[in-house]
Amino acid sequence: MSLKRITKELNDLGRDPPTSCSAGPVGDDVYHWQASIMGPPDSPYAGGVFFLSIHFPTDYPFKPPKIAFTTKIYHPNINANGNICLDILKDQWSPALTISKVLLSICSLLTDANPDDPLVPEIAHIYKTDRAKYEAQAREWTKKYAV
Amino acid sequence: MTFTCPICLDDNEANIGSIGTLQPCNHEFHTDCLRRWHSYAHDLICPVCRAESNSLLVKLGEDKGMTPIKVDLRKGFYAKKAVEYERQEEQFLRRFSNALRFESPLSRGERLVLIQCNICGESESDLDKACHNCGTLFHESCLRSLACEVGDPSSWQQCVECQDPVNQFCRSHIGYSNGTSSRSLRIPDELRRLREVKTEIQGHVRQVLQGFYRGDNDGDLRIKLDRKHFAEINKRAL
Repeated sequence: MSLKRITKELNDLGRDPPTSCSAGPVGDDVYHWQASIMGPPDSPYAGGVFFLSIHFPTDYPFKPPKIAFTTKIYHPNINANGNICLDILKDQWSPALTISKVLLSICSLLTDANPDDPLVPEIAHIYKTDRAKYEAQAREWTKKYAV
Repeated sequence: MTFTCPICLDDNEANIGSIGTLQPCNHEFHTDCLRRWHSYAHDLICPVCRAESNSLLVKLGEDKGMTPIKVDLRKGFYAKKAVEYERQEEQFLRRFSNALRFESPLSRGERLVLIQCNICGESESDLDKACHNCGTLFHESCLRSLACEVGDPSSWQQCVECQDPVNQFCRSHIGYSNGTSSRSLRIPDELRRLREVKTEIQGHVRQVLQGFYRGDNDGDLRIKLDRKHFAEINKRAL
C-alpha cells in the first residue's frame, strides 16, 4: 500500500503544487524524498529556502514519515540535527495527513514557534524574554545558511 | 462525485471494496484501510477530523437501498488492546523468569497448573481447595489459619488471589488426573528454592504478625520486620 500511496501523493503534488513548498524523490528511491520550504514572508526566515529530508517508513501512511531540516535554522522547535518537534510527526500522526499538509504545518511552525514545548531550551528562552534578539539571530542564520 | 479514501488516497472505482462510514462524524473510508489504521492507533479518533468515534456503518452491497451494518468499534478495539497488553505482560514475565535463570521459561499457563498450596508452598497430595476462577490451589488449613492471622476468620472461603469463593479441589478440574506427580516433579530446582524462600518469608511475616497481635512491640511492625533478615533470605534466592 505504501508505494501506491506515495506515488499518488507525488502525482497530486505535481498536479496541484503548494505555493511555498516543493517535494520529490531523491534519485530512484521512492521512499526517500527531498523537500524545500520558502521562509514565510511574515517571519524572520523570509527570503530563505530551507531544505528537508523525508524518509517514508514501509508501513506509511500508518506510521508517520521521518522529516528533518538539512539546512541550519535558528528555531526553538528545531535542533542542530534538524530534528523537528511537531506533534503531528509523532503521537498526533493521522493516516489522512499528506506530505503537502505536513509541509504546510512546518511552514506555520516557522511563523508561530511553540516555545512552551521547545527542542532547544536556550532559543525558547530568548524567544520568550527578548523577541527582538531572537528575530535578529534567526534573520542572521537565514542569511548565512539559507540564501 | 467520486469517492477517495483519505487513507490510501485511491479513487479507482474498481478497487472500492466495502466503504465504511465512521460514526458520529460521517467520514468515509475503505473499511480495510480504516481497520488497518485501528491496529496501529491508540484511540478511536477519526483520522480526518479527530472526533471520537464509536461505530462504523458498513455497506456490503452495491444496492443503495440496502441497510448498512453497524459495527461497534469500541468493544473489539479495547478487547484487542487488552489482549496486546496481556501478551506484553507475558513477554515481561518470560524475561523476568530468564533473569532469575530458570531453566525453562515460566509461562502464565505453566504457573497456573503448578500443584502447590498458594499459602504454604507445599506441593503434597492433600491439597483440598481450589479457586475455579484463577486456578490457584490451597490447603483448607492454610486458608483458615491465614484468615485468623489477618483478623477476619470468615474470609477463609475466599481465594487469596482473586477473592472468588474457593471450591473443593478435584484434580480432574484442571485435567491432570494422572499426570499430577510427574508435573510437580518437573518444577525446576530454582523454582523449588524460590518457593522455600517464599515459605520462609511467609513464616517470618506470620511470626511478626502474631507478635503484633499479642502486642509485644507497641504496635510498631517495623521493629521486627527488619531489612537485614529479608536481605539474608533474598541472598539465598539468587
